[in-house]
Amino acid sequence: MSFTDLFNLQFLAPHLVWIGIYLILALSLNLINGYAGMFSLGHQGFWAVGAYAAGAFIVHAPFALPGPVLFVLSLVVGVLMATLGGLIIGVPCLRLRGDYLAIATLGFAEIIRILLNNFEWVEASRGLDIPYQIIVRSPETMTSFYTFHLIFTWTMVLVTFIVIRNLIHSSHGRAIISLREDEVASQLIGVNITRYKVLAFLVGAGFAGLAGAIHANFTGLIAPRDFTIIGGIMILLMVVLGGMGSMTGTVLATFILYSVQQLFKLELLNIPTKLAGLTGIQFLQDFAAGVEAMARERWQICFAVLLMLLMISIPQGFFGKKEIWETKLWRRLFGGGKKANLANATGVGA
Amino acid sequence: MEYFVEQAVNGLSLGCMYAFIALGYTMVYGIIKLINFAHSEFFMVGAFLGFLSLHYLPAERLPLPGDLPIYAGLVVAVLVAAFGTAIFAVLCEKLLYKPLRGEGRIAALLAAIYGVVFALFLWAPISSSSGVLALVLLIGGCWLILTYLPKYTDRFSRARSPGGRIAALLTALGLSLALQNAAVWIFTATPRAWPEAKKFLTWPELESKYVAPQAPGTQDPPANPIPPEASPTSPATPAGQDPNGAPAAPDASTAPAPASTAPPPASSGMEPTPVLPKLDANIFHFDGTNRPIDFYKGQSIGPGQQAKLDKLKAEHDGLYQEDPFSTNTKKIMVFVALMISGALLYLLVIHTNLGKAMRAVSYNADAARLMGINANQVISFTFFIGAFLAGIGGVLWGVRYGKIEPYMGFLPGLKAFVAAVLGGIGSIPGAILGGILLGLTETLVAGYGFSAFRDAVAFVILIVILLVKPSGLLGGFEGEKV
Repeated sequence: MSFTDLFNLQFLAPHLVWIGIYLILALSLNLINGYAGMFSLGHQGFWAVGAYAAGAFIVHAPFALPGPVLFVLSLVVGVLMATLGGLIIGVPCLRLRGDYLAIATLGFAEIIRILLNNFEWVEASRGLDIPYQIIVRSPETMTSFYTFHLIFTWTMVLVTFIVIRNLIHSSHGRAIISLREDEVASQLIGVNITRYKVLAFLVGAGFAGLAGAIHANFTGLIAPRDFTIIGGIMILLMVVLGGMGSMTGTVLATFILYSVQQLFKLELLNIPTKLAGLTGIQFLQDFAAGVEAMARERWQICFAVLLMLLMISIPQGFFGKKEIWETKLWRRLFGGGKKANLANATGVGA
Repeated sequence: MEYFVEQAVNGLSLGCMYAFIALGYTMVYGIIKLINFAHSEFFMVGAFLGFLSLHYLPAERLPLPGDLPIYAGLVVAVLVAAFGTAIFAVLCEKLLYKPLRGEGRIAALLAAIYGVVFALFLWAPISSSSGVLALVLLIGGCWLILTYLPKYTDRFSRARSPGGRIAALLTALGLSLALQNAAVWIFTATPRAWPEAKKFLTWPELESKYVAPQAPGTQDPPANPIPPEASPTSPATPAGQDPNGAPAAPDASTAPAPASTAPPPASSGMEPTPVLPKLDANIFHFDGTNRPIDFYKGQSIGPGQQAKLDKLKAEHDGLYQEDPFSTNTKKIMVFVALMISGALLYLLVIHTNLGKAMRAVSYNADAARLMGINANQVISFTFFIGAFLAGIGGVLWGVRYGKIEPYMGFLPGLKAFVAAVLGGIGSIPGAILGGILLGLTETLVAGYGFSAFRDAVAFVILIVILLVKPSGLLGGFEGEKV
């Protein structure tokens, strides 16, 4: 693979679609974890429910439907089933908090995965093969297939972003944020905490189901092994690294983490080795080869070590609870920003 | 009824395993409120340490006088695993979890990671060209980090607040993943047979099973593949060794070509002294040549591989005896070990000053500090105890189930946490009770037709107990502070 291939649609499109899927997952987890302050480790469970509901609907649809209708209906079914899953899991878990909630949601996600692993109706552990709707994936239709999924996924990302942003900026959103800050105090000022906890959980689960349905329609093969705890940790990492309660931070962290993860697998890793080869120094060549082999074969360890270092050095994530335009760096670079404007308008401070 | 009793006994011994891990979980969670996901990897590390100990120091190789019984090797393995794992866990705590509490030095962690990464990954390629430079880079790098980095990182760490619980949890998860993958790299993902539990085939059996017969007259006879080295410490032949198995006396029927062309040097004039085979291959996988024996399955021997095969033969012949413990003995062993450890741990926590300090730190760390308790030391000691038990548990797992692998810790670890919650987190009898109950339930569910769902049972129990009685069966009531 050469450098120019990086800008090839065939190469880039699947990665961009996957970034879109991860963005929907991370943004919806940010609503549960970051804004509502409920520590959920079970997002991969809702993801799996959405993917399997959509896939099973397409495979086992009781009556013949045209492709586009089936496609849209599968998304709807995925979202609804994941929301239902969120209701079933969320309501009993509302009594729990902190680490207990994390472990309980993790337990639910594992139960879902184990059930799917033994559920012959959806082909158990072999994985469910889903026929492509709208555009069949074949060498001739590759470009249109990728274009369609790229546009569709990113439209859905935009929808997710706008819906969650508007929810957060509404009065309901302020109630949800008050849960994170202090549950008892928000109860005292009359916030119905049960209602808002369920609301946050349902919306989060629903969007995870949407991501699952897109995933199922894009890959055409889903298996229980795609939804292990490792996937859940990856999503959680995107949220925590971006800053719990910062949507732009989540977006940035998703791009960075996905790219870093993929970079470990790329051919581009041999650039240092080639450069060292130009110098002609044996020692440098060995060193670069060692680094490349390490990054290539042991990237899981590199990733885990990176994760630990990030968590220890910047536990609040990139932006903390702020959005990108509220950070000091952004203001220094571009000036203004919402708060600065407000200060100028009221004539308070510089 | 007989089936039920059998299943119940199996469940009891499985539950004892969970209890061993759950004790560490419950103590660590009790004292710093952190779900230490890496604890299940301490269990795995313990199992592999015991494995290495049994491999390199079986009973007949122990530097002790007299004819030692076969379980002496196991006792040594338990000690090695328990202390090795405990020290390892304390190091992890000092380097990783202490900075998370906002107390340790990030520079120390960075130096440790640099050292480990360098030693593991970069040592081999560099030392091939310049060993001294590699050494300078290793030591110099650590020194540079430790000397110059604190200037920047300490200012930084004073400014930042200690990470929240989610950061701590993710760090523990990261450590868990790193240890798993490091173990996969060192030992490969292939499950390893526990040395004592598997009766290895003798060479003739092995050859007839795996290696296609060779035409006689193969060139390249091995020039003394295993130099017979008389062990100075233990001249006795291992008990029950097959006389044909000693590498000093190869039999002509198994390897006709080399035996006829190159008589082993041990037989030249002298009485063949019983020697112990060299034990440096087959465990590690560093250069890609020391593959496990299965690598040769179904392959015919090329001329160049003869020496390698002779080496394998020497390693495998007469090295391992039949499993010295019957299955029932193992079950009793696990149960007795758990009961003794649990009782000692209970005495330690309830009746010693150290235990009192642990309870104090668990109740309120800041108040305990004001009373003159060194909270950091107490937390380190808690990790020591927890990992000590996990190490013992790892060895017992190997003995009981005869197979270890790098991912062995993950699921038992999760279930052990469930057991700790079930019994009431922070309670020692609770962890033992929870572990045993969980093991019993799981085995009975699996035994009566639902074996596919045995892993789901633990999580169902977890959710039920969290909803019905979140403080656990033996846990006290925790009031809510506003």
